[in-house]
Amino acid sequence: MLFINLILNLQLDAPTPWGLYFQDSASPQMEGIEELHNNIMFYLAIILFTVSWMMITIIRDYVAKKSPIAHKYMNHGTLIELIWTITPALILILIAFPSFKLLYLMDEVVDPSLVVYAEGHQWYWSYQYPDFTNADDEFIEFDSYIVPEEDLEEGQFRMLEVDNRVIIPELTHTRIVISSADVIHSYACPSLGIKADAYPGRLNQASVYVNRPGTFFGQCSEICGILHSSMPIAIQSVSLKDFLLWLREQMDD
Amino acid sequence: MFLRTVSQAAPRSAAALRSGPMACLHASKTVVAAQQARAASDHAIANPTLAGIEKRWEGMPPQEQAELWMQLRDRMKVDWNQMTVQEKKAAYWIAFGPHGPRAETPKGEGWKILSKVTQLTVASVVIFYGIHLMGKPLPKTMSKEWQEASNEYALNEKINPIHGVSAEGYEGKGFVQSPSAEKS
Repeated sequence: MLFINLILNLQLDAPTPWGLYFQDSASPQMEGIEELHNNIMFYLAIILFTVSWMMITIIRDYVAKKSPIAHKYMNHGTLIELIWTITPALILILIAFPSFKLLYLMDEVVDPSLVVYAEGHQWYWSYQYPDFTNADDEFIEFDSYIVPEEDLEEGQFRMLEVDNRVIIPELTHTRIVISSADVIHSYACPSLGIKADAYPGRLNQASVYVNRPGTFFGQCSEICGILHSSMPIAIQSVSLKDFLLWLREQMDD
Repeated sequence: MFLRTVSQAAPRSAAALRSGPMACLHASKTVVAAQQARAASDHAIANPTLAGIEKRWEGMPPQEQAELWMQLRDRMKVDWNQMTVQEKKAAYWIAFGPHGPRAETPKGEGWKILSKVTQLTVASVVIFYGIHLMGKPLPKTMSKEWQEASNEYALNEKINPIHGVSAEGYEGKGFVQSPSAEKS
C-alpha cells in the first residue's frame, strides 16, 4: 500500500490531482479510520477473490454446451446453504467489532482545553472562541468566507481558500461545537477525521487532537443550497506559542 | 395407434374451445390434472406423432403439447427398455431441448448488441464533448505555472508532510497536472 501511495502520490492532507486515497492523517481519529479501512480492505480482498473464483468456475464449467442438463441437479443443498449464510455473518461480525470500537472512541470528547464554536450559514462558516474575551468582554469571533477566484494569490487553492482560517494549537485537546443558523450543513475535514452535521437549533460536537502543525482543508458536506460548494473550511494548526500570539492579536482587534 | 392418440385428444380439446389464450392455458392445466392420475402406458406412441418433433414442437398448440408430453410421461413410467428410441429422443428433447427459455439465440445477435452499444457510447461521447465545447474556459488555476506555485505554497504551509510535497525526499509532481498556460 505504501509503495502504491508513493508512486501515485495519493495520501495527502489537501486534495491533490487524481487523489484516490485518504489525505495525510493529522489526528488519532483519522489514523483509526485509516486502520479500520485497511482491515476491511483485507476482508474485501478475500471476498472479491472467492466470489470471482466461484463465478468464473461456474461460467466456465457449467456452460450449456459442456453440461446441458446441469440445472436438473441444481435443487437444494443444506450444507452449502448453511456455509453461505454463516460465513458472511461471521465476516460482518469481524468487521462490526473494530468499527464499533472506533465509533465509540471517536464519540468520546476528551476533557478539552479549548472550545471552538463553528456555525454554518448560507454560505459561509462563522467561528467563536468562547473561552476568550477581549477588553470589551466580547468573544473572539469571525466569519470565514471563500476567497473568490479573481482574488486568489498565485499558488493558492481554488475553492478551498478562506479569508479567515480557524487557528488551533497542535497537541491540544480541542472540542469543536457545531451548529447552523439556517439549513443543515456539515463540518468536515478529512485530514482530522471530522465530519459532523450542523443542525439549526442543535449543537453537535467533535473532538480534535491535531498532532502536527499544518493547514487542513475541508468542505461543507451536506447539500445546503446553490453555493454549497463555496463554503470551504480551512483549519490551521500552529504551535501553542503561535496560537497565544494569534489570540493576543485577536483580542487587541 | 395414431388414430387412438387422436381419439384421446379429441374429447379433451373440447374443453379448450373457449376462445382466447388464457382459456387455452386453463384447458391445458385441466388436462395436466387429469393426466396425472393416469397409469403407465404399455403401448408405444406412434412414430408419425413423434416424427420431426424438433421442428413441429414450437408450432404446436399448447393443448397438443401438453397431451403429447403426458403420453410420454406415461410411457416413461414403464421399463425404459420398452420405450422406442424415438420416444426416448422425443422425451429428452422436450424436457431439455433448445426451445422456450433454452432456445438458442438467433445468429449474429452478439454483433447486433455490440454495434448498438458502440453506437450509443459514441453518441454519448459526442454529446459530452459537444456540451463541453459550450462550457466556460478552464479557470486560471489550471496552468502549470500556477500549480508549481501551489507546490511552493504547500511547502510553506507544511501541507502533505507524510506522502506529499512537504515530505522528505519527495520527487513527485505535487499539484502539477496541467500544461503550461502559454502552450494552451
